[in-house]
Amino acid sequence: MVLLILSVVLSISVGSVLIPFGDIVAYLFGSKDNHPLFATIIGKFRLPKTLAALTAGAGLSLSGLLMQSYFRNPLAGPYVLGISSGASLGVALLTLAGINLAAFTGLGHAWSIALSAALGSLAVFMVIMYASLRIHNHVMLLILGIMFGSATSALVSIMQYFSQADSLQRFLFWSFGNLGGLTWQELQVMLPLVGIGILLSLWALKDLQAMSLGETYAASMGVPLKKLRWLIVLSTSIMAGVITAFCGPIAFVGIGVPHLARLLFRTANQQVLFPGSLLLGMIILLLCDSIAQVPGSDYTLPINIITSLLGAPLVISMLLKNRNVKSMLS
Amino acid sequence: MRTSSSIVTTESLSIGYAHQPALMENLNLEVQRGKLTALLGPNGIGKTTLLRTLSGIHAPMKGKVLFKNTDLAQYTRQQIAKEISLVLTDKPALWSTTVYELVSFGRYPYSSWIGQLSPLDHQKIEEAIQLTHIDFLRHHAVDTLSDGQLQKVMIARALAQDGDLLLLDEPTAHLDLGNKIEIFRLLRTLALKTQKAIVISTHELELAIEMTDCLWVLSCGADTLVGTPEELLLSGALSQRVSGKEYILNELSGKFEIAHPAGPELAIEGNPKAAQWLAHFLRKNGFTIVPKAAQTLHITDSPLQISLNNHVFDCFDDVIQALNKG
Repeated sequence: MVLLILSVVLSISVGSVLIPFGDIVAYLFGSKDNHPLFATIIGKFRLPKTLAALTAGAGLSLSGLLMQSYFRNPLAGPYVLGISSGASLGVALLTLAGINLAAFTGLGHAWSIALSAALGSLAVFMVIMYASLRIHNHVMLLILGIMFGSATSALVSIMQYFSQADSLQRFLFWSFGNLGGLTWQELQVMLPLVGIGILLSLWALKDLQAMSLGETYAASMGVPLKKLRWLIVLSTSIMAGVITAFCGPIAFVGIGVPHLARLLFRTANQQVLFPGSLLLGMIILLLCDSIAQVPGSDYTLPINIITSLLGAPLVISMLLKNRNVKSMLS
Repeated sequence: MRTSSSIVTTESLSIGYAHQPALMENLNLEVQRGKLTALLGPNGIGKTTLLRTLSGIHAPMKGKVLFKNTDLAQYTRQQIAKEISLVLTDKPALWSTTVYELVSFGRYPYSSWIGQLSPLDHQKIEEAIQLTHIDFLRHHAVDTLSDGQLQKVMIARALAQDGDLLLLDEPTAHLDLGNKIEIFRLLRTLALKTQKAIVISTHELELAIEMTDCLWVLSCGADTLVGTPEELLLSGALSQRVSGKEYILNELSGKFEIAHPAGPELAIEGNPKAAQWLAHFLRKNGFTIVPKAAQTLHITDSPLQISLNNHVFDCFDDVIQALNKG
C-alpha cells in the first residue's frame, strides 16, 4: 500500500517539466495557491496519466489472474490468448475502416471506441472459450491464442494497407501503447467500465478457487460452470478490451503480474492473489510508466516497449526456473 | 432388495456417451450406508462413467439413479454437492497450496459467496483431517506430498464436503502395497464410523475381497455380479467370472493363481510347508504336481533336503537340473 502511494507520487512527479515535490503534495491535497502552470500540468496531463496507469495496471493484471486460474494455464493472459488483438481489431474497424459507430448509436467517441474494443475482445474470447471446451490441452490453447492473434493482426494489417496516412498514423501511435494521451472524458468511460469488470470478477472469486482442482471436481462441488464461463469472458473482455481501447496494447502485465503475486505472497489462495494482483499491477504499471518518461529528458517511450522489455525476460526465467509452471504445461 | 440403509439405487440404468453405444445397460444396483463397495472390471468397461453417473455429473443414457428415493436429475448441482463427494484420478496441479487449504476446498458448497469459512466450516475441516490421520501434514505444501499422502488429503477434502455418499475412482492406483492396504482400511473404517456409503473403483480384487463389504463386478456381455465377497466366493460365481486362461481365482483362499500349462507329472511327499513351496517352484518350471506319479520327490526342511531316485539335493535349482537331464 505504501509502495503504491509512493509510485503514485513518483508517477506524477516524473515528466518533461520538473515539478517540486511540495507542489504535488499541495495540489493533491486541494491547495489553490499553486503555480498555475504546475496546476495545469498536473491536472491535465499527469493526473489523468496516473489514473490511467492505475486502472490499466489493475484491470490487466486481474484479467491475467482470472484467465490463468480459469484455464489453469500459467501462460494465459489477455495478450497471449489474443484478447488484446481482438480489441485492436475493434479499434481498427473504427479508426481505419471508418465505421462510424458514434453516428450509428448516438454514443460519444469515447464510448464507441470502448464498445468496439470490448466487442472485439468478446468475439475472440468467446471463440477461445468455445474451443477450450473441446481442447483440454494447455499448449494447444496457447497455440490457438497465438493463431487468433496472428489472424486478427492480419486483418488489421489489411485495413492499415488501405487506409489514409493520417488515420494510419493515429492507429500506429495507439498501437505503441500510451497512458498519457487520455482525456478526462475518456477516463470517465474507462474507470467505471473497468470497475464493473473488477466487480464482476469478484463474483467469480470463489468459483475460481474451486476450479483449481479441475473442472470435474469443480462441478462436483456445485460450481455453476456455465455462469463462471460467462463471468470470466465478460469481465476480462470488458477490462482488457476497454483498457486496450484507450491505452493501446500493453503486453506482459496480464501474464506477469499474477506470477509475481504468487511468488511474493507464496500462495494460490484467490482471496490473497486477487487484491495482491490488483495492487501489484497498479504499482508495476506506474513504475513502468515512470521509466517510460525517461526521467530527466524530454523523451517519452511507448509504454508497451517498457513492459515488453521487462516482461519478456520475466516470463522466460519463469519458464526455465519454475518447475510448477513446467509441470503444468507438460 | 431395497433396505432401509439404502442410499442410492439405480433402476434399469444405462450409462455411456451420446452418439455412442451404451457402455453398460440395465444396471440395478444398490449402495448402502456404512458399507464400502468395490467396483471391479477391466479397463474401458465404464467404471469411471458409472461413478460419474452416480455422482450426477454425467446424465444416464436410460433409466434412473435414485438418491435417497428421489431421482438424482431433480436435484440441483448445489444440492448434490452437499450430498455426494468425489475423489478422482486426476492429480491436481496445485502449487503453493497447503494441505489445510486443499481440504478446505471441500467446504465450497457451504462457504459465503466470496469463499469465507465459518467456524462450523473449520470444525468440519478439522474433523476430516483427524479422520484421515493427516494432522502432521496440515501445513505442508500439497506438491511436496507422496502419492499415498496426497490420496489421503483428497479423501479428507471429500469428507469435508460432508455428503452421505463418497465416490472414489481408483484411489489405490500407483500406490505401493502398504499404502494400498492403508487406504482400503481407512475407507472401511470411515464407512463404519461415519455411516457414509463409500463406493470405489479398483483393479485390486484380492484386496477388495479382503477389505470391502460388497462387490460389483462389471464384465462385457454379462450381468453385473453383485454381492458380499465371501458369498460370491462360496457360490463359485466370482471365481467363474474373473478367472481366465492365464490365471484362476482360488475359491478357498480368495487369491489369484497363475494357471501353468500342463507338463511332466510329479508327486511330492514331506512336510506340508516345504512340499507346498517345492510344488510352487516346480510348477513355475513347467511340471505338473499330482498326488501320485511315476516319480515322487521327498522333501524335508531344516536342513533342506530333497531326494529323488536315491539322489539327495540341498537346493531347488539342482532338482530342476537333475529332472531336466533325466
